[in-house]
Amino acid sequence: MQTRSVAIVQLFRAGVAPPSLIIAIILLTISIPYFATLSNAATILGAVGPLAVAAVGEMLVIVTGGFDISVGAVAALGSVMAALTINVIGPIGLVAAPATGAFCGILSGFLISRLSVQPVIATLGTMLAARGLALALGGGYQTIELGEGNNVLWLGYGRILGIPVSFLIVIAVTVIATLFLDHLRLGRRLMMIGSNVISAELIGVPLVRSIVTAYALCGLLAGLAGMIFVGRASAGLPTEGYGLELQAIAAAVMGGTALSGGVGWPPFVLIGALFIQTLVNGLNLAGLSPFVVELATGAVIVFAGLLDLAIRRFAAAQPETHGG
Amino acid sequence: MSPSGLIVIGRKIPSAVYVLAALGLLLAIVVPRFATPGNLINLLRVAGILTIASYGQAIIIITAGLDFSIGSAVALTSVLTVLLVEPLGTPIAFACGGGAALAVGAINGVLIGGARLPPFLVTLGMLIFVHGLASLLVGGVPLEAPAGMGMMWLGKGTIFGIPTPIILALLGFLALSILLQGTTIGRYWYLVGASAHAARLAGVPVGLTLFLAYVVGSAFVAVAGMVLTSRVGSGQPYLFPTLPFEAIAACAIGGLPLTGGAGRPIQVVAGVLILTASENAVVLLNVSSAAQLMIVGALMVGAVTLQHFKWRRYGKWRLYGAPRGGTEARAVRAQRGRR
Repeated sequence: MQTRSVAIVQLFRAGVAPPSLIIAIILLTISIPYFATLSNAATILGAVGPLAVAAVGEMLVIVTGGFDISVGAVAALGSVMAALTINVIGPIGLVAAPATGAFCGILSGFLISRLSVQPVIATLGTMLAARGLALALGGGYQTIELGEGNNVLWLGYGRILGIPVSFLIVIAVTVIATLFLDHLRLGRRLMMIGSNVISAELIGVPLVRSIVTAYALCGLLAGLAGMIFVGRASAGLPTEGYGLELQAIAAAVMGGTALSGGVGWPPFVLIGALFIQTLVNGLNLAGLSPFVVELATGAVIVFAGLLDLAIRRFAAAQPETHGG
Repeated sequence: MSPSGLIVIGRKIPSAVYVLAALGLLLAIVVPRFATPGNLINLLRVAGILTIASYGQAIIIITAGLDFSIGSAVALTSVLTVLLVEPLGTPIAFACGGGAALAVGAINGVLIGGARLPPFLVTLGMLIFVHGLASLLVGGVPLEAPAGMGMMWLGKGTIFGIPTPIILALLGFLALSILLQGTTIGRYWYLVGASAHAARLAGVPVGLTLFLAYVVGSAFVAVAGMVLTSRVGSGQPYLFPTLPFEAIAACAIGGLPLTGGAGRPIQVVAGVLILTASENAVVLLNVSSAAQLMIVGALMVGAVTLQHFKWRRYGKWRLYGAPRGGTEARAVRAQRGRR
């Protein structure tokens, strides 16, 4: 009896993403002729990269009870830095993107944990600074083309056994993040901070160090999203990534991450990102205006919140609830 | 601000006002053409619109919420107004435009006050949704207002030689002060922001209080949207995308804790002026727009951090949303002592 209710709660922890994804796929398959093809599935998996990676990063800070709205700007800065570095030292310069992102994350994390600036202000500051720096390095709203012989398109469009390379990166990130949160001491600490910051400090969790790590990892993953931008466009894109943070937060919440902190699991976040990407892809295939897509995205975010609430209420009514 | 962060009618001058005075003095000395009447009036005219929108944001921040949707709400106001000028006449069109912003606020209020969804999520969703709606109404391109659209005085005119937005900002200050300090609902906003749980135990109708916060907040946004529409004279789906960030930044720079329960109108005004004055100075100094972003970002974080130095003496519990002063922190400290 007890195992059954625990299983039910585990299922609820998934949030609204898995059922939504299934319903969306069924509806889109029925209504759009070219939707349910293998090549379109590969298109979706190939396009979800930046969003999925950023969403997993966003989840890592949301479980600590904060959030990061600099993700889109950091991804743009990462892509610019990577493009500049590649032009100097060759394709290995791609690693400049996650490195830059991690640096931005450390900056936000330091402001938030050590100087107790509220997350929204600190990451807003990082967002403006990163966007400004990206634009300045791009010489004013221009893309930074990669030089001859620096082919990184394999990153954006290559396939291994039919699976897009960028999606393999997403899988790797998701698996590592899951192992990190579920089995490493630092990962457990992030969850503890999000559940109850006072208890966490009382039992000796180093708050500053843990929170800086969370934001650094989020920045690193945002930079990784920027790296995938470079792989897809073969250029540094200072104006890319507007709204990525909103979609990333939406994906995380749809994947069952509680905005109050302490609850979240990366695989479900990946499903949340897949749902958003599938919806955008389907509506585009249906030939709807991009504004309708925007309308639908906004409605889905609010609706996800409502469904999440309903599920939580229901889960709370069950005996033996474990928040996660 | 008192340690408990709850004293509102204190006579103390908020620290943001000192920061503003120092910044003003510095800019007047360093930046050429800053302290000229023409520049200052222009600065205030720009600040007026942001101030009105920030009043609305302040109410919501006091209840420990956030409103990102205002960036699209003003766009919807402008688009709807310009669309309706032909069939309905200018005054009614403006009323409808303002009404649209109020409707956005009411939806936010129902979802946040009624269903108790996180404000962050709801208003982000509404930001995207309403932007899609406004773009759809005009097909994504700005729509010129028909020639002879009245109401231009709202954004560009003057009353007794003072630009209308400044007058409106002053009236808004009065209205907000009365609301926050002289009415029951205003006191409820502080209570709910300080502790929704305690407020409910004290018999405050929390849902209704939150709903009204978002509706009244959006009334300020509606006024800001109407002034903006009259100023640009067209319906633009991309009217002021940075408005929510600037309004939140202004409140934070002014010293409103985003954790809610505290804040005074004067702080909002000081925050807006600090933000606008530095943006204005950066433009006068001819810095590229990319560098402007970086400077404003650094300034915002700097201003907020500076105010925290005073708070730090309350100890480590300040960190990361831990309780500020008050009973809870005392209990925790007592517990630590025993350990």
